[in-house]
Amino acid sequence: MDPDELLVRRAQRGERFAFEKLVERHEQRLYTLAARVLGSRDDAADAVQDALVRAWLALPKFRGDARFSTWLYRITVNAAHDARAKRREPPVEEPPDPVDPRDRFAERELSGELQRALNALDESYRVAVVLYDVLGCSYAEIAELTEVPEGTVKSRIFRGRSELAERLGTPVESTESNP
Amino acid sequence: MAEKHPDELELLSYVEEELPADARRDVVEHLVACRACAESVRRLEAGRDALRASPLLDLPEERRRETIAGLPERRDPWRPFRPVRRAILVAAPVAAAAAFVGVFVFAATQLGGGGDDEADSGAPAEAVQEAGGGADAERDQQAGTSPLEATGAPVLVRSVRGPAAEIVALLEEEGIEAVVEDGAVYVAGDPEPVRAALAGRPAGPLDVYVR
Repeated sequence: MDPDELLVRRAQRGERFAFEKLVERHEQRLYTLAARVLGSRDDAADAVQDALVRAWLALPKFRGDARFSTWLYRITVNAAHDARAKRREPPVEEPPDPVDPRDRFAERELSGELQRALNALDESYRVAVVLYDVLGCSYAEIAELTEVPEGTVKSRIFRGRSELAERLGTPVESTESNP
Repeated sequence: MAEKHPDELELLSYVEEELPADARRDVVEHLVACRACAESVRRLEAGRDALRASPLLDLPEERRRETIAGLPERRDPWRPFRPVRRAILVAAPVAAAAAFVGVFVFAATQLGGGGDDEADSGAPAEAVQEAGGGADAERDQQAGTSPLEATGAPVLVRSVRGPAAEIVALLEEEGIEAVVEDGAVYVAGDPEPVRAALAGRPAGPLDVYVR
């Protein structure tokens, strides 16, 4: 049984505090997904906000065919994709010195070597490796939420990981201009 | 070295330890002899390790608050039709009972010549009562509340599952002000919106009154 099922049913009936509880459960993973896909703290927060509003509005139509978390990941991937399409420039430098130490931590992570290597990957590879290796989704879940066959998911993970390792093993200057 | 290189899916399955024992043995045998495939495996493992060592990141607190506070109103598309649906629910058993009575009376007049009306009249009345008795508790309570309303005493709207704070929050979401007193929830004004707001709640020990 989906561990979110009861809260989802209540949120579907319009109970906002049930939805807030669901947000509390999933926000960290949604934000990590968006941040690793977009490479920017602010853009990621915008995408998560957008995704949560979309999820709230679409919730009455959620039938529970997929796990709720899978459904949320799908909405977040779409919101991140839309945010990326709207962004005209490559990831900008984040505003310096956020007040909250957790934001400072996120900023350090997103300006690090791993993120620069991730930014250089094809978006479909980046989404696949973040979902599989960072969030621990199964091949089947990723196939479902990205709407491609499992074989394609595996191939994207293979290529994403391989390219990432190559970039991490070589000087990163060449990736900086490549969003 | 084995003749054929494993494909990328086999190499990924090897790294993820998803291969059956004999297939794994074949891949290992190949990797021992093939530097290119061994290098592919090394890259797969290095990429995986870098990703898995990366931490989860926290959504900035103020963004979460903004999101929750700014959730748009989500209107129940069926809401305008609820009174109609309720009316149908109420009317259906009554209509069914009336039809039953009609058939019964018709049959009685056709078969018995209508000489025994007084003896027959008990059965249809019971049928109506029984059909009415099968309707939901909300109506029963509504029917039972009007004398109390006349006296100005608090009127029990529904008994639901708590906790009370959650019910207060739920009512306030619907724009209904509510307070908790002596283990019950009290609301001022009209019972109908309160009943509608609590329609989805299961029954329980927490009494909700209107006064």
